[in-house]
Amino acid sequence: MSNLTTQSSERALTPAPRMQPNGTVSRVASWLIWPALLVLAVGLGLGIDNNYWLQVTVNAEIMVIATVGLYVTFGLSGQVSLGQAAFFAIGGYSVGLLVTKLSMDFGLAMVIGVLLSAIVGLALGIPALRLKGHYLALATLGFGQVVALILVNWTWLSGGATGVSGITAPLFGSFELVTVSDWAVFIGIFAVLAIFVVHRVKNSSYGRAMQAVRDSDVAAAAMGVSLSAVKVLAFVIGAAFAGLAGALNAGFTTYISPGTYNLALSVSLLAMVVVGGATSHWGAVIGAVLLTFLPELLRPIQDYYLLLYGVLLLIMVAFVPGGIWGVILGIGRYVGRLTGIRRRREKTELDLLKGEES
Amino acid sequence: MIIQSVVSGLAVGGIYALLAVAFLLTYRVAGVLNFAQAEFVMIGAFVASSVAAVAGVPLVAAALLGIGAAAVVGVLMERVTYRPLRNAPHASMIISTVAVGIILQQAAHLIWGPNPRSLPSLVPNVSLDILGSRVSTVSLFIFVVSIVLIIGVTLLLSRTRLGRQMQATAVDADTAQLMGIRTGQIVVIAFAISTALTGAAGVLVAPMFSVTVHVGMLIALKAFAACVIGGFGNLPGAAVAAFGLGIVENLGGSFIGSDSKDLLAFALMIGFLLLRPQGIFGAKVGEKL
Repeated sequence: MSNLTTQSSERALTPAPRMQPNGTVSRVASWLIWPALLVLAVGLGLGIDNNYWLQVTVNAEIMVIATVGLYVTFGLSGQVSLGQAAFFAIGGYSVGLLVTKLSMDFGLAMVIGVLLSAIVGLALGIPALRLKGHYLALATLGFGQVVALILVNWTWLSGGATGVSGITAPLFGSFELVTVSDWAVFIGIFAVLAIFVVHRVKNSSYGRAMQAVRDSDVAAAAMGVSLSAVKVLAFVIGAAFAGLAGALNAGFTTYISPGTYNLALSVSLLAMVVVGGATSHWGAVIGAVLLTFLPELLRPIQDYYLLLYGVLLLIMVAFVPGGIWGVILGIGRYVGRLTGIRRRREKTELDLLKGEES
Repeated sequence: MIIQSVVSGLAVGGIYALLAVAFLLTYRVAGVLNFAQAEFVMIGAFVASSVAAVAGVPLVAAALLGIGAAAVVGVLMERVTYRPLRNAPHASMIISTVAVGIILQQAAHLIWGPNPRSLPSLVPNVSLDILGSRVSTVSLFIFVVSIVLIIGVTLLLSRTRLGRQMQATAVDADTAQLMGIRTGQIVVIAFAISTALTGAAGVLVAPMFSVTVHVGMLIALKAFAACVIGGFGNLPGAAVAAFGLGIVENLGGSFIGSDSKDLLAFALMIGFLLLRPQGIFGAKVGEKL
């Protein structure tokens, strides 16, 4: 009996094979990607001298944060949330109100905003996640509406339809983020950190439990996974990341209004995960960047953009379930197989030659 | 005053009830949560109003064309959402209906433009004097039509061969298919009936509001709320809850102010999800964890 348990724990400790487009990528290389991404984020912040594109880049980075969070909720553990905009709003309004009404430092307000989003996510998630998946979609949809209506109607708290403006505060003490470039570097670092955290979560025991719950909750429960704990954790991570994105957005734009936090935002976050590829956090990153830049690039045909967006979403869901990341992986595997076949053929030819010799 | 509130509550509740029944029909038969319902309200209202604007077309014909258009688009929707995705995880299906909603809304925006349109009611708007309260004929008409339609659907499901086939498909599609029921066709019919009902709700609601691409948004969301409150698997239960919601909302609106009126439905829905997820009339749905 004891022998059995040690065996199984040993097996649990050995890392599962990672999906790599080209087979073997060494451990060092897979770690090098993080400093490389940091350099990229800082480089983008300092290097883009066009103010407009720099702002779009910052928006993309904010979306990356919210989207990788939603990837944990939806991609890893299979829970559909249609209320991410509400957590975005909680983060944003926490920062907006704490900074303007209590003249709090932005850094502290941001931490409170993220914590508040997580707590609200916990409070909503614990009861709602006891229910089958589609109930969560409905509950989060309703929750999103409640928050949106509160933001408009409770003028004493939220400032009503006009929103909150003049959200400017030092980050900590006398340290201030002044230029767009400063913000771009700051938010870029957070975006990389967010991807890193999600990467670690995915490859942790919790991440594997989440995937097990997504693939078969009955089997996962039979293996001793606590369904409620895993689902709630995944939901809270999604909520906290959306709160962080909302907080950063409020600090960056210095102005928030209820119109930003509607169902369209929740849907587009979900769309980013699906279009990018719900099987990997890299898919979520690709989706967030692509669907933030696409509307800017398609500005000439603005009237048709949303129509195109809907069609794209429909096609991706129906025919490309792996998303863009899935396509990239597929191409990688295809190329790998081609080269692999060639190598094998060379080898057999070599063997034949040897056979002729002997 | 109270009677007036109740009657207009019943009218709004009738709209919610039509949408709730329509929503549950595709959910029960095909397992599809149709998040594009608001857009089918819009299609019914837009098509009816533009047909009615053509001189010489009777209003009834315009209304029927609006309903028919919604049903046709509903059948097309089955092709692109249910059929390719019936074996996919339910999340994919939800997202595909959301995508259809975006497409329909944007298409309508391109076709009909941003200016609101109007549709006259099928009955003349007269105030009747009932027990000292002034009650609008339009409200009464909406209430009566929605009740008739809902009873019609209930009878269709319980009394006809087609209805029983639909119920069998809802209970167990695989077994139903083994018993010789063409479940593929049944699902298409369920989509057609569901979207036709939604289109009818659009035609009924259009005289009360101006017709824009957002006409169905809030009412569809409140119909979802009614489904949760009434119990998700239960068509008549959801309809009763929808009428109740309409009344509560209207009475509540005159007491707590119209600003918070819209909050009421969603607060009730979340309250029910947390405390009694099976709704008023439903069987237990919570998962054992």
